[in-house]
Amino acid sequence: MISIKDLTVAYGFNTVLHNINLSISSGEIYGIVGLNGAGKTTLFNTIYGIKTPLSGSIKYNDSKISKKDITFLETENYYFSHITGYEYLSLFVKDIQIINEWNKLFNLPLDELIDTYSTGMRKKISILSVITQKKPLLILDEPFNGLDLQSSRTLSVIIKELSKNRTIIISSHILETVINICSTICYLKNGVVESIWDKNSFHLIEEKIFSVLDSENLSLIRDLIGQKH
Amino acid sequence: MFSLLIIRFCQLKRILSSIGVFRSIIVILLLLLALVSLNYYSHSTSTIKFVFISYVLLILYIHFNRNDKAFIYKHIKNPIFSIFLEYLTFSLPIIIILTIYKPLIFPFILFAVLFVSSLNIIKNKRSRNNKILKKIPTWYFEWISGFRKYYYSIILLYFISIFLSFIPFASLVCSTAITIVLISFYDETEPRNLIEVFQLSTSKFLLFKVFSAIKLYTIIIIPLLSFYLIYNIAHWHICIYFLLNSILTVSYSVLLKYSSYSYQTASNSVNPILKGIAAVNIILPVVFVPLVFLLNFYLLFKSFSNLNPILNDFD
Repeated sequence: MISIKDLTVAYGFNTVLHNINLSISSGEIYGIVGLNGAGKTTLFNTIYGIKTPLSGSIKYNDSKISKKDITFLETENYYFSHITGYEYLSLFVKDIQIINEWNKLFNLPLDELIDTYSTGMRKKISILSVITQKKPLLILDEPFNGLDLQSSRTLSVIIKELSKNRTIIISSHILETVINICSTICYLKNGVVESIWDKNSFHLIEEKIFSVLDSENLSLIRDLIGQKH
Repeated sequence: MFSLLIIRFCQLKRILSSIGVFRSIIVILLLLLALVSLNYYSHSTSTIKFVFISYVLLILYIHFNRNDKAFIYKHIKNPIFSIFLEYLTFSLPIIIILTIYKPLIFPFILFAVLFVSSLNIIKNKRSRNNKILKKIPTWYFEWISGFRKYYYSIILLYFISIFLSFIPFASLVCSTAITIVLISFYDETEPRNLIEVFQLSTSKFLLFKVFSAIKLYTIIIIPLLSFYLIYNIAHWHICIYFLLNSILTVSYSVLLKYSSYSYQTASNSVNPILKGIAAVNIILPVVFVPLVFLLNFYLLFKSFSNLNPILNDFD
């Protein structure tokens, strides 16, 4: 179980996360949604330990969380140049057969240089590198970005299967996907936990997020396209 | 028609400013030295023929390996003529020297360059994967990447170094060039997950990186120095000094990379002056050795504090 208590994170004088309190059960797929700049990536970086919080604590099974327990897929990934897919993945998985088996799901040209891969292919190789690791906690920041329909579907199935023996925290802007795979969803707004929903209350999510956004923007949109009444 | 040339000059300007003043001066000096040597040896017809063939082969090699042909054919008007103009402009000093000593060679140069420019060969996307590269374990990914980038240049320099072993200092100049290429493998930064993948504490990680770089470097350079010593045994002390200084610079280059590492960006914001010191120390070893020696300690502490937030859990 991951327990986040009174977490406050800042970049210089700019406080990005304010007093975050979350409790994530083992084996859960926990979704974090929010607009750009809401603090999702900062929260992930802090859970992973590469960003130091101003105050608060993050515990995993009642002890300090460690990178040894976590695999983290960042939103933006970059790669060492002139390295093939096989060479990259073999840094994480020693057995080439395991790599080939997993690659049946994504059909990546692993003997080609990653430099020649498209955005979607790069995302897929990053996903392969994290899901083949066997750490108990998996953080996926925008894993569906750049994936085609088939790969998105495949990834959803993989995440569901992995959750049988791992805890997964995931962020995505594709609300439908998050609703489909997560058991709990947290809505971050301006660095504050605005709402937390469980499966039974997922029907309230769209209304909560989009009704506010729509009402805020509608007047401006009408102004811009000259239809103000 | 001239848009490709304008792009090239802008890129050249950017490259020179990115490699810093020291390296720019070294590159320009080396080019001038090569031209002066070319001018010096270009008196005989046989030398001119040799230079002409080498020049055409070099252009062919560059043309085959360039990755922007598809872009040029799609976006630049008169692609063949633009490429032709580009090759002529950047090899103008060589063409002038060859033409001065043998004016009749000029039409042959034009024809050869035009012929090469007209070849629209798109390189196979499959990676270069030969026996040497397969033998390098993947955790030395900088070396796999570097060898793949500079494979033919390194092999060429390596054989030239062996063949010139009997000439005093010639082989050492080639070894210097190889060393500069090898330390450039550490110019590129790796993503955070390639640092964490070893699951080593900060100090163990830095030791692993430095010692593996030194190990691979010595495996490559010791055969060259041994060949050199066969013919120039009196220079044994120079070879030892060369080796120790190179090892110091290899260690410096590795630590320099991690001293400015940031997990958030792919680009390395290494201080260009510190970067230049590595190259200058290889070329002028006596002057900079004490400085590089002391800077190794400074960079070690800086790398340690820089990587510690990433690797602190692996103690």
